[in-house]
Parts: sequence; structure tokens; C-alpha cells
Amino acid sequence: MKRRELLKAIGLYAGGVMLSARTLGMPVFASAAAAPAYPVMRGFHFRPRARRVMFLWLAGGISPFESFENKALLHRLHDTSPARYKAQCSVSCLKPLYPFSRHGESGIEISDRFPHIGGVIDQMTVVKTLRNFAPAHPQANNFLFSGERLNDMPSLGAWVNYAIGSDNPQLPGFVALGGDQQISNGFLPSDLHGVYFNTTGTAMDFLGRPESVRAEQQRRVVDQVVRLNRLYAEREGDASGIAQANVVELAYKMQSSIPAVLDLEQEPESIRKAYGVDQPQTREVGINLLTARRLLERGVRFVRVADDGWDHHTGLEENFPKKALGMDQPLAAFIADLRQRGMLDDTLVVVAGEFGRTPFNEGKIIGGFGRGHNPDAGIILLAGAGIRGGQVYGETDEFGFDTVRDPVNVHDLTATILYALGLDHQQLTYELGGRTFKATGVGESRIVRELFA
Amino acid sequence: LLHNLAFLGDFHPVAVHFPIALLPTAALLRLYGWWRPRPWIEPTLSALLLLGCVSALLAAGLGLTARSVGGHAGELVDRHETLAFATLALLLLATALQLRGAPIAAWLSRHRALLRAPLRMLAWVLRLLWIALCAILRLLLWPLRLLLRVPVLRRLQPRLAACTEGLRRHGGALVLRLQLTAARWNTPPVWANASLAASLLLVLLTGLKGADLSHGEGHLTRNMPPALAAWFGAADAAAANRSLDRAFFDQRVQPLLRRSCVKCHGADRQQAGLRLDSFEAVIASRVVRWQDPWGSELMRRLLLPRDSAAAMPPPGKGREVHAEDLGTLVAWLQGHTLETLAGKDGGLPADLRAVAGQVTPVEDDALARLDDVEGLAVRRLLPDHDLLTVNLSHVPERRIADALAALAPYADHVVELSFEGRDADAAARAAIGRMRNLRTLNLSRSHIGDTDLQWLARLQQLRWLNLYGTAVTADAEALRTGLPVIETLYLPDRAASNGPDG
Repeated sequence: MKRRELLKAIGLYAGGVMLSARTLGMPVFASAAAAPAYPVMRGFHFRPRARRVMFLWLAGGISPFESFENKALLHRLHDTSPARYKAQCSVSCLKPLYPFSRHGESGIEISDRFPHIGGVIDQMTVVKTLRNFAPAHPQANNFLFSGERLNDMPSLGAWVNYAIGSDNPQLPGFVALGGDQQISNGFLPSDLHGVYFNTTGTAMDFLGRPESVRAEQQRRVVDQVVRLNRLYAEREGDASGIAQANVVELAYKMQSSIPAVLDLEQEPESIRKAYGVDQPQTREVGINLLTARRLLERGVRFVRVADDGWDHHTGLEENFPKKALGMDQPLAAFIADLRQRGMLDDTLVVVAGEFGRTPFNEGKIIGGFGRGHNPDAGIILLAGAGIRGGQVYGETDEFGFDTVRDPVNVHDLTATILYALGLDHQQLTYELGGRTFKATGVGESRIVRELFA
Repeated sequence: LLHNLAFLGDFHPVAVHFPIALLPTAALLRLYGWWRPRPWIEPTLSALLLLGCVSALLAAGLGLTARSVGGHAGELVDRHETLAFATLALLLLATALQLRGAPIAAWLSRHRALLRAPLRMLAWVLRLLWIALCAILRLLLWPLRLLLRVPVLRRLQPRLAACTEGLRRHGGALVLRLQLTAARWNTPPVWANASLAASLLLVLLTGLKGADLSHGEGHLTRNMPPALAAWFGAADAAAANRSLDRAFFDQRVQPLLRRSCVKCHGADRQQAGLRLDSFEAVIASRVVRWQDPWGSELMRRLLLPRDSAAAMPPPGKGREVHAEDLGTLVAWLQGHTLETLAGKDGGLPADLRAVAGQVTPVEDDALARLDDVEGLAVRRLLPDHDLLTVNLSHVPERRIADALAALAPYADHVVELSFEGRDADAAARAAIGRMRNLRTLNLSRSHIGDTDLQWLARLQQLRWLNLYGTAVTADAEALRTGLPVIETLYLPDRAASNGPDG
């Protein structure tokens, strides 16, 4: 490294440290819109159906059999080892643990753990054939969100942020709640990284202004850091300087915009109650989803809410009801709330785990019930943005172990989400190292148009 | 200096026609000579072949120039070159035998033994192989003999013996005949005729490959009736390429080809004989394959690493193909039309298509200037149309007037508008009221009440209206009467009212 560059790098680093130690609350400064580090899309590829997306990630992989997949055969073969699955089923079959009943005008079968979702099922499509490529969490998670098996590739929210960003200059285009995994910008410009908000305590670490720093002081620091980054970008022809400047500017703006957005006290009591914010079991997902709605309402393009703890290898009978209870009411309230506000017409709601689970009892080894990972048949719930209501899409075999009709693999799901946003996954590309990357990885993927009304 | 000679390569297609014409003429003359021997035939034939040789050498030289300096490369070029050199070699041989046939024959007859020796050796090798084969067969048949001791099967024995014997005798005769034939062929006139025939065949093949280079592969079968073309096994791709969408090509593909490719592959210049300047030329070129973008040579070249010699367009000439262009090409090659690309119903409904036809074009630069207003987001609804979707919800209150003023020239273009949480004062209402093509209007949480609703009636095309969170108390029925085509209406704190029953 040349001496000049080294000095520059040190200078920038010092600027970064100053910022993180001294970010403060101040009136938002009214600079002209920040120049982006990449070309801006002026039009959509398709007529957009969705203006925004809420992706609820049931991390760990929700069991289809305790939610939407009622297989009679499993009741018959419960606790036996069918010859057909000798290899996979070292233990025995496991029947769906909870009774199913039909809900809504569509009469979709749902287990009794999700009574509230039953109430909004006529607004949703249930996909039973999510296919991921790997039966292990890290790879499956990477694949679900970035379409690639590798770590730290751009996640879907960053791609969307890259294409259409936030309409609101005071807020990021891509926000993560409930968990900060799988929100990387990867090789995309760094200002596209998902912004993670805490749901308890302060919304963002180090966002507030320390009392020892005066507002004008902070403003001066921010202005200088932005100026230096832009100077660097200009002199070295390196767009990462612009991205860095944008991040700093946005962080500064968020000091005033974020506290108001995240202040759930502004919501009426009835709404807070509907989301279950007042109940300990539903509080976490309730807060996240209510926050998500407030963010989406204010122009955030993509909110990824993580709900961890669905990986029930053992203790299914004990832990699944807890997770179901925590998610059922808030999600139903979220859908109903969006619907009432007219937001469901242009908000795509996606609920999915990274994969499904097997029809076999893995938990028997240590006693009780539990299911292993099954990347061949998982559940996706979709709603809003013209998604057909009361529809079941895709069919699994009699064991619910593999898809037999209309598989929706991860790339298909991504292509479809982008399609809803008016973006063509084939045309939304990024050049890197002589290769053309897209959010749907390599190979064919299908926009599942049948999901829309 | 070498590069100054590049122009010579361009004369290769002219020069090749001489050997192509001279060789078949010579061959025809030879046939005529057999049928009606005439004294003038042999000298004429010699002259024709000599001229053929000279012109073929010239053509080959020019071809090499075109290849090494003119930058032609590729599988097709390689095949053309190999065939050309084989032709040249055979033609030289045929000419030598024609011109100096008698001395060569004399020399050969003097050294006949020399030529016979390898043939004899071949015959011996064959004979040895035959003996070995017989031995193996006999070994294999031996257990069968044991079996034949069984009385019932004994009757078969003579037949088996005859079979073995026959094999031995006729096999030997076969080898002998081969030997004799080889000896008979070992005479100069036969070789001369053979080499002439072979070089004729090769010159035709070379010419066909060369024509593929300059006119595009499949140029002969292009206009054939499909059945006939299928018989030649060549036409499928070119015929299939006809399914590629012309409107898509004209609107999206041609501009990018014109920008990046046509300078070298156009009417004036056809590097590698490739033309990409019209729909017909492109679909006939065989660098594209319908429904197989990744198998298309065009995509392969565009996607090669930029430092690859075969990468197109050649780097550093400022004609780079951008990533969006690659997407466009892929979509076109996949067989998309503009409509299917926009999605089955992701395209415009008929009423909006009519609007799109009426409004004036909006330049991208004009849209970019709208970015100057803080928080104003304006996008095209679809890439090829001038209909706009506008979000005013995040424009600061004090700049709303500026934003609306900036949008004023595009009042007809705006078909979707978000005005959430803004203050719809009289000026704003007037400005929005002028957007007569609005289909979707989001006024949720905006500061309007019942007194302000009159202006809404000006928006006669409104399909979707959101009044959630406003102070409006008017009931759905009243609002619907003013809006003739309204489909969806959201009112404060009430469930969505879809359809007239609300």
C-alpha cells in the first residue's frame, strides 16, 4: 500500500471511530438527496403489485405436520417403521400431534395451534412445497436469503434495496427485526446492508447522542466524515466512499426519525392488544410485527422479522405450542391490520422457515417427540399484494416427505417476491469480477404466477 | 506493417471463387474426356488445373492473412481452414499427376517393387491375423465338439466342420483379392483421377463452410420448405429463431446491438461474416438460439471474462454491453415478447394502455431532475411506457408545494399517487385534481375531511382510494356515487369495502 493511501485509510478509520462514539440526536439536516453509489432504477420491469415486503422468518424450520399438513397415513403408521423409508426413518413415523379443522370460506385445514391464522386464512396462500437444497441450517439459511450457498452473499432485502431502496430518505430501505443474521449486503454497496433494530431497550446501539457532546459538535463531525468520504470517493474513484458517506448520513437522520417510528406507545391500546404486545407469550413477535407495520407504513421497502426457535428435534410436544402461541395471534393481527389500512393491497407478506421437517420421530431417541430437517417439503404462507386468498399450492406425497406437484424452490420464491415488487430476477443483476450475479443464483428459476389472483 | 495488410484479407472471399469455379470445370472435362476422347482435352485440363492451383494458393494466402491479422476466429473458421488445406494438398497432387503424369508413371513402374512392398506387408499382416482368428475360433469350438459326441447332436458335426473349413478357405481368398485390388489401383491415371475427385469434393465442402462464415450458417436451407430443410438436418435452428419476437427486438434488442455490436457486425463491415444489424440478419446468424440463451454463441461471447481473446465486444472500445442489456438479451432469447416479459397480467390493463398511448414521452433525464426535490420518488410504472407512479408521502411538508410544482408537467402521466400523512391543502388538492388519469390514490392519514372531498370527483378514473386514518366521515355509498369506476375504497377504521355492498 502506498504511503498516501495508508494515511488516507487511517484518516477514514479515525472518522469512523469518532462517529460511532458520538452519534447524537439533532434536527435532520436538509442536504440534497444523497448521491447513490450505484445507478438508480427509473422504472419497474413489471407493473408492481407490492410496494413493500414483510418476510417473517420462522428460523429453525416450522413443522408442516403441526401446522398445515394433515396426513392421514401418518396417523395409521404412527410409531411404526414403513419399509419404504427404512433408510430415512431409523426410528418411526410420527403423526401430526394436534387435531386439524377447516377454516374460512376456503376450508383450509389448519392445526388447532393456529386459531387466529385460521381467521385470516382467506387472505393467504399456503404453499406446501418449499424446497431448499440443504438439510443443514447454515447452508439452507444462506440459500433461502441470498440464493447462494456461501456465507455473506447479498441477501434478498439488500437486492431489493439495491433496486428500489427506500422512498423515505429518513429511513433505510432494508430493516431487520428479531435477529441480525442473513441481512448482509454481500458484494453490493455497503449502504444496502440491512439495518438491525433492537426490540427491547434502545432501538439501535450507539444511535443516541452522548450528553457530553453538543448537537453542533456532532453535526460538525458528521459533516466532516461525510465530506472526507466523498472526497475519497472522488479522488480514488472508489464508490465505497459514497456508500460509507450515505451510511453516516442515514445514521444521522435516523437519530430523529427512528425514536418516533419505534415508539409503540403511539399506537392505540386496541392495536397493541390485537398484536399481543401486552401478553408475555406473544410480546416478542407482537412488538416486531407492529414495528414492522410502522416501518413499512413509513416507506421502508423490506422488513425481515426473525422468529427463532422452531428447530424442534426434541421436545416438539412441549416447545411447538409455545412457539405457535407466540406467532399465531401477532401474525393474524398483522394481516388484519394491514387489511384494514388498505396496506394489504400493496404489501407482500411472506412467512417461511428455511425448510420443512420430516414425518418421522427423531425425538424418540431420548424420549418424547421431535422431527428432523426436511429440505424437500416446507411451508410458506403468503398474503397481500394480489396473492390469491384461501389457496393451497403444491402437493406432497402421502407421507408429506417429498413434493409431488408444483414444487417452489428457494429461487422460485425469490423470483416471485421480486416479481411482486415489479422486478425481473433476470434483469436485476450486479457485475462483479467479470461475472453477472443475480438474487436467484445460477440456473433456471420460475416466477410462480399462479400464486397471484 | 502487418496490420496494414489486413485489407488484403477482405479479398479472400473474391479470390476463393477462382478455384471453386476451375476445379469443377476440370472434373467435368475429365468426365467428358472419358465419354468422347478429344486431343484438346488433356492440354485444356492441364491449364485449368494449373490456374486452379495458382488461384487456390492465392486464396489460401489471403485467407491466412484474414485470420491472423483480420482477427477472425472460431470453430467454424478452424474447420474451414482445415478443409481448405486438405483441398490445396489434393489439388497440388492432382495437378502434378496431370502435368507430369507420364514421368511419374515411368518412375513408379521403375520402382514398382518399392510401392508394392508396403502392400505386401499389409497382406501378410492380414493373413497372420486371419490365422490367429481361426486358431481362436477352433479353440472355442472344441468344447462344442465334446458336446457333439452326444448321438443326437452328432449329425451336426459335418456341418460344423464345413463351416470351419469354409471360413479358412474364403478368408484366405478375401485377403488375396484385397491384395490384387491394391496392386491394380497402383497406377498413375487412377491416382490422378482419384485426387481430382477428392479435391473437387473438398473444395465444395470448404466453399460451403466459407459461405457459412460470410452469409451465416444455414443460409442455404433458410428459405427451403421446412420438410426439405429438415432432410438436410440444418434448418431447425434458423426456422425456430423465427419465433423470436420482432417487436421486442425492435424496441429493446436492436438499440443495444446498434450501440455495441453493429460497428463491426453491420452493413459496412462484417467481422467473422456476422451481421447483427437487422432482425433477419440476427435470427439467421446462428449466434442466437431460440429458447436457449445460455447455448447461444452471442451470450457466450458476451459473458466471457473481459480479458479473454474471444470476449465480445472487444474491451477498451467503449462499446461495453451492460448487465441490464444481458438481461434483456436473455429474456428475448428465452422467447419473451414485450407482453409476456411484463407478465401475464403484470402488463397494463387496456384502459391504462390507452392512456399510455396518449401521453407525451418522458425523458429519463427529466425524471432524474425530479430527484432534486427531497423525498420525492417518481418511477416509471413499466420500462417502455411513460406512465408514472409517484410517492409524495416522504416529502417534507415545506417542500410539498415544490414537489407538486415539479410534477405539474406530468399531471397526465401520474397514474398512482401516494400522499400518506401529508397535508392536502387547497393548492395540493388542486394539483392532485389535475392528475386526471389517476387510478390509485393513497390518502391514508392525510389531513383531509368531509369538506375537502369535492375535488375527488374530478378524478373520474380512480379505481383504488385509501382514506384510512383521515377525518372523513362520509359513507362509502356517497363516495362511490362521485367516483364512477371505483373498485376498492378504504375508510377510517372500517374494514375494506370491496364491491358495492361495502
